[in-house]
Amino acid sequence: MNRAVWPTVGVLALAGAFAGASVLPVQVPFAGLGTPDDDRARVAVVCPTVAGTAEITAIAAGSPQGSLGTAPLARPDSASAISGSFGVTTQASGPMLVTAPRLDVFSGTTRTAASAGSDRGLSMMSCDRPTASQWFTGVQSSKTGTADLVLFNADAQDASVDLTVYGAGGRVTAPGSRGIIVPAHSRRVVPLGPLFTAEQPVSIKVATSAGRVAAAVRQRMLNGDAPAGSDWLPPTADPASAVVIPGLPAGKGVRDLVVVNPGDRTASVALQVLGPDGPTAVPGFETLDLPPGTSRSIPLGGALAQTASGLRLSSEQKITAGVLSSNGEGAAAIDIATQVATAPLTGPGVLALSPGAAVSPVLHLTGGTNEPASVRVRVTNPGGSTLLDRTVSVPGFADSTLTLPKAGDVLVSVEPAVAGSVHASVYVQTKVDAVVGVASLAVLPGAAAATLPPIRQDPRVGS
Amino acid sequence: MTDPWAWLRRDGDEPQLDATAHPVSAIVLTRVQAAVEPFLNGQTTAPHQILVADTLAEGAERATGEWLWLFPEAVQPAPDALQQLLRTGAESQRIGLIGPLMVQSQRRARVDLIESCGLTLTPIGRLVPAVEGGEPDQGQLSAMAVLGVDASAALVRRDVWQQANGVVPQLPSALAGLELGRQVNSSGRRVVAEPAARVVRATPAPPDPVEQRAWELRLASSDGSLWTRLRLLIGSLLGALGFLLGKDAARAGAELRAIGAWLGDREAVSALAGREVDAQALKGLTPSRRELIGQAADRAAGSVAEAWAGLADRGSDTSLDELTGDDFAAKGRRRSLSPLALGAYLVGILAVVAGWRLLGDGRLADAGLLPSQTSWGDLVAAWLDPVAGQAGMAGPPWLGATALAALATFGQVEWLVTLAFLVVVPLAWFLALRTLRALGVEGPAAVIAALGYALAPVLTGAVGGGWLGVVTWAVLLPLLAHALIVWAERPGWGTAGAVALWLAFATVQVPLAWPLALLAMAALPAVRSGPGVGHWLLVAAAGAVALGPALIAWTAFPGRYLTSASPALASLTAPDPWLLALAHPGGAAVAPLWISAVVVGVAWLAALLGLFRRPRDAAPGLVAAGLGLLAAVLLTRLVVVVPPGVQARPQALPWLVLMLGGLMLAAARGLSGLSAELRNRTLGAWHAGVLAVSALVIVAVGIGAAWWAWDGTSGLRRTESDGVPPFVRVAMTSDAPVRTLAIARSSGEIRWALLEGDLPRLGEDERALPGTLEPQRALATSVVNRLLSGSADDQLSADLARLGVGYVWLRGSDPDLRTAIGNVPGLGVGTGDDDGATWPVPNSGRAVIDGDGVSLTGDGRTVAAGSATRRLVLAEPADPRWQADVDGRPLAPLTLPDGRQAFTLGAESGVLHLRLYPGAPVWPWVQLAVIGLLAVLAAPRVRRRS
Repeated sequence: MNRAVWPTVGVLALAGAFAGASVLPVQVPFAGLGTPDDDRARVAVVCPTVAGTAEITAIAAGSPQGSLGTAPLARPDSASAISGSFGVTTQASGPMLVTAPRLDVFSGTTRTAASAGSDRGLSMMSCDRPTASQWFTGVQSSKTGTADLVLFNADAQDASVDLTVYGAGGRVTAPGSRGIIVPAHSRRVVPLGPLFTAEQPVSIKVATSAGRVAAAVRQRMLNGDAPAGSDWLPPTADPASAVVIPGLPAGKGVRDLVVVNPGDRTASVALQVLGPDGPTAVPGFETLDLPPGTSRSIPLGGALAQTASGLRLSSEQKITAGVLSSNGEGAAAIDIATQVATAPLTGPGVLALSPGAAVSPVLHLTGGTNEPASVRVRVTNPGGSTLLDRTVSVPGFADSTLTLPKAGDVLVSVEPAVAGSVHASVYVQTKVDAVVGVASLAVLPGAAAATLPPIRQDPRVGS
Repeated sequence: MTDPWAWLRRDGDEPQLDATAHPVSAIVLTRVQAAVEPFLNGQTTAPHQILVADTLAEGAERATGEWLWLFPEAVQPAPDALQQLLRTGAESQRIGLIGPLMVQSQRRARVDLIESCGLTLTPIGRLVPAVEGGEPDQGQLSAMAVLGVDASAALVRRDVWQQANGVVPQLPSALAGLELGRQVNSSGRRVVAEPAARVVRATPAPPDPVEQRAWELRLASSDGSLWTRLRLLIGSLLGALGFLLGKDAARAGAELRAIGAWLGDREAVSALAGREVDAQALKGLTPSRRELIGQAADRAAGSVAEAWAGLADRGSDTSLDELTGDDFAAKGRRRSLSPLALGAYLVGILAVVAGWRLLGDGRLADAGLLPSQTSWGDLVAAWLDPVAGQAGMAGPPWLGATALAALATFGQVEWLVTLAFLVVVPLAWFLALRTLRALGVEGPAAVIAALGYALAPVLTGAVGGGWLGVVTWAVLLPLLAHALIVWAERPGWGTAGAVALWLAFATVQVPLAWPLALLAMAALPAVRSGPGVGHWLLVAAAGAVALGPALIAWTAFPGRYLTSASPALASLTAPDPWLLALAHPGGAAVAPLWISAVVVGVAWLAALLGLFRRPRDAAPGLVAAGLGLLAAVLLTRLVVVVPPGVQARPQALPWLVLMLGGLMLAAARGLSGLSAELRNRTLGAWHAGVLAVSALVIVAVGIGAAWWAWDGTSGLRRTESDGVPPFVRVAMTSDAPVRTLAIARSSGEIRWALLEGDLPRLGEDERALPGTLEPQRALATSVVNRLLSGSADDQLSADLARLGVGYVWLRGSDPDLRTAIGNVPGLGVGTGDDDGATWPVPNSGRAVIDGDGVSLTGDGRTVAAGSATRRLVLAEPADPRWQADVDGRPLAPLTLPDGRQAFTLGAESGVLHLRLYPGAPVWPWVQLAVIGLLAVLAAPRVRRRS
């Protein structure tokens, strides 16, 4: 027999065994030990309500896992559970906490709709978690708009808040902006008018020296003395060398981009419009130079009217930005909305949407990287029925829109195939009597835990 | 004409000796008269009288000469022996005793072997020659002052003899001369060994070893000091152990019997009564410890050189000189650098380059390596101390092996750890080389293949990642393979003992080695020999004993049988099988993929070529490689639960080391002798092919070696374990100790640990670190999750107290985490800087007294009197072995509903004592005894001095 036969057989047997072993399934750590948790480890987002108004604020909460609870900010012990994966509270007399297990994907949103008065229009925002530092851009405290900074302390200890205001000419002196005490389990409304006024929109950093707060700016626009729309300004993303603002709607109306450079050096900011076909530049605004410590407003209404888009701003200095937009209607129907820079979805994101009427919201998916992204979008109603389940392809540095099925309360789930590749927001337009109410809601990383990286025990800590 | 060179001859001439001026009385014992007298008569300088007597003392009584020449035994003095002795003695009146050079005649050689030239005593009282014996006498010695001389043919002044009261008749000849020398030296006279006076011991008749040694001990302990007796006893016992290890049971027994005789026969000591000497007078005449160590080092170096020469010469031709020459024929080697020597130089240089960065202050630490214990006792405690809440569980058995090995570094654990990472490659190379040579692989192929294997722990990241167990395994594997080869060739209890010994050490590192080695033995024909099954059972028992109690305790966590040391520190990510085939399991310290691909790819190629060239030779290696690869792939698919109940993914590293070892074995055996075949072929494609394969292998291994030196150890770092603030460390090690919840945020993850005492040390990851055992684990993970996610619930500080956490320490300056922790109700005010922040948890400690408020306490603390409702609460899992007492009055144990241990303290006051009763430590002694027995079996036989 050829002496190569047995070696050949042996090699083939080894190769076969190796191939067979390679296709065996890989066991994964079982959750019971790998990611232990218990029911006390719940986290909360704080949903604002409009203070001192008779308008009804609805607070929606949704989670695919369905272990939600709500509680008044002032009485966190009196929590009530929400049955199912979606719930809407319309009896809120004050700010509410929406809680869920730390690892669950969940969302809380707030909605206030008014046809008249200073809070006229549709105001919606995604509720956020208390943190030590937040940024707001596009705050107007002038003859054309008034703003209240609303601070929420969900903890059992008082919080102390410092404000830093950035205007076109640099830091704005704002007496009384330091050491603002927010008592435990309470809300504090800080009217910004007495602190400062500025012709141009400004940017504000809200930072705590003790404790932590959730915050939002209640922006009310004026046309002379007449109300011209209102909305919540949610926090924008923390300053970074590149930020993405998703969800700028198509159509007429203002699109005032407000950029802030909080650093000590002039920032040369490259501005890209992320359209359906990829990034383009705005003629005349390809690059913006921002002196240190300044905030600047750039009107982009004309350039962005044609199509829905997102914006990407990049600089060697850390900057952040937001957009104040309007529906472009006449004085009787005008309303405003705000689009803010968001963090990319690091995991599944959900949005509990309760527009108050059957509408067809528009989901904006903006690619934050040069690579195309694949995103699974699911829309379910409070009963759990799936209204839409589609995988959307988002080109790199481009904006894709998806008109969601016309419905009332829905839970929108957005799950990128690759973490960190996509930013998402939902644009809602609905009639509030004569007013064409508009609002943009950022889709935040769903689980509050997603804001923290994985936690694991490691005896090497301390060595 | 006057000779101009006469001055030279004059100086060289020996001075004439007037023998009549120095009359010598030779004293010959009656029983040796016939053997000695002819030689006395043939002396060039004859003694003026020859006295035959029954005892030396009797002869001395009758002697009239100035000198006495003693002959208690049959020896053959050279014709000029007396002349030489007398000439030396006449030089100075201070010389009182002169001894000749005692030689042993060789049958064929023209030179004799030196037996002794003067005698002395070692610190443990052993009689040894003043110069190294066994060398050929080539006139290399010169006269020297010594402690004593052999009484045979010794020349002593008569007055000195009388002053010293002669010799002790009970002593053997050599010892009697030594004792006389002590007396002479002590009296201010000198004792000289004169090598020019040669005396042949024709028929050496060694004295009874028990009697000889017993007298040595009596002589050495004649000063009566207790300390001296204790030192001699310990030294002798160690000596017996040494003989036992050298498998010289007769000498070991003699040593022990001699100890018995020394200690038991008190009357024998009386023979030495009144002969005590001043030790100060003998200073410089006995070998110092330094000299003894130097001699031992010389002998060791000689043995190594001999072994190395044997390794290099194996299989080489035997010269005609060797076949026909006498004992001292030289081989006449060519002075060229052998491949082995070249390899040794290369590996040595690379090891220095790779290892220099490992040296420094602090302790080595890395992904797989916790800092070592500060003392040997701590290491042993980590091995043996029981684990609360886990009956039967203690430290992993590999800690015991580490503790045993640390004895070689004088108990310095860190020295051992550092040494392990420094020498793993050279040592693995040498041992693999030895194994390959034992299999008949030619030198160059063995050198390269051994280096390829030795690089395995580097390429796979075991060295850079600090995986001490895998590093040890890489050294043990060739030892085990060599032992198996030797056993297969020469089945016997000794060779089986070697297999069992190395398998015992390998099993504690990689438990699966146990069944695999038993299977390998079962597959060898040797097991079917007469006692082969017994050998197999011995090896099987060795593995079981090595694991000891863990063998049973691990049944609760059977996954531990599939892992190597410190499995909980390993990554939970499964490596890609194709990368495993390239010995690239992933991780920070692993070699770059292209280097792994080059080295291991070429190894696969060479192994396959070897398989097709010499299937029978290469097949075992390839089977081992395949086994290693399959084990690596299959095991890393699993997630198992290991002690104390944490999940782990078995590591591929030990199996990749086995794979590379198998590949190198297959390649070396399969391709060995390739170059020799070229001699029979004409220059052509075959030459080119062989050259290409050789070049490829050399380049591939060279690239791997270069990476080892350049970056292979860069993953290891030294730590001072000073991350935690000093005041927290103090609190953790105080007499009322607390724990610290340490949290660190790094890229992509948040890591935490419950720290206590002196921080987790080597191997303690396999014990129940705080927060790893239920119910603490669930509570700890819940607390950490709630703390970091900012839930800030009111229960958090109470839960921290249940865990015994006195401080929460956050490394780094993450503002969100700082805020989240700072918001927790009940925590103290945080302090810190950019490096970290610390929050105190009031009234929280590992042991607290609960009742009149909460107060911290601990073992050894004084407890004040208080109310009758007080309890002592431990932040430890409940265990019936917990014991507490106050001034010796035991406290009644309680188990709290949350699983903590507590005791009813009541109004007691006094000093509190707390402990987890460990039980009787039987197993460590059994393991030690078995390892000792196996070591005795496995040790090479000691060479008897001729």
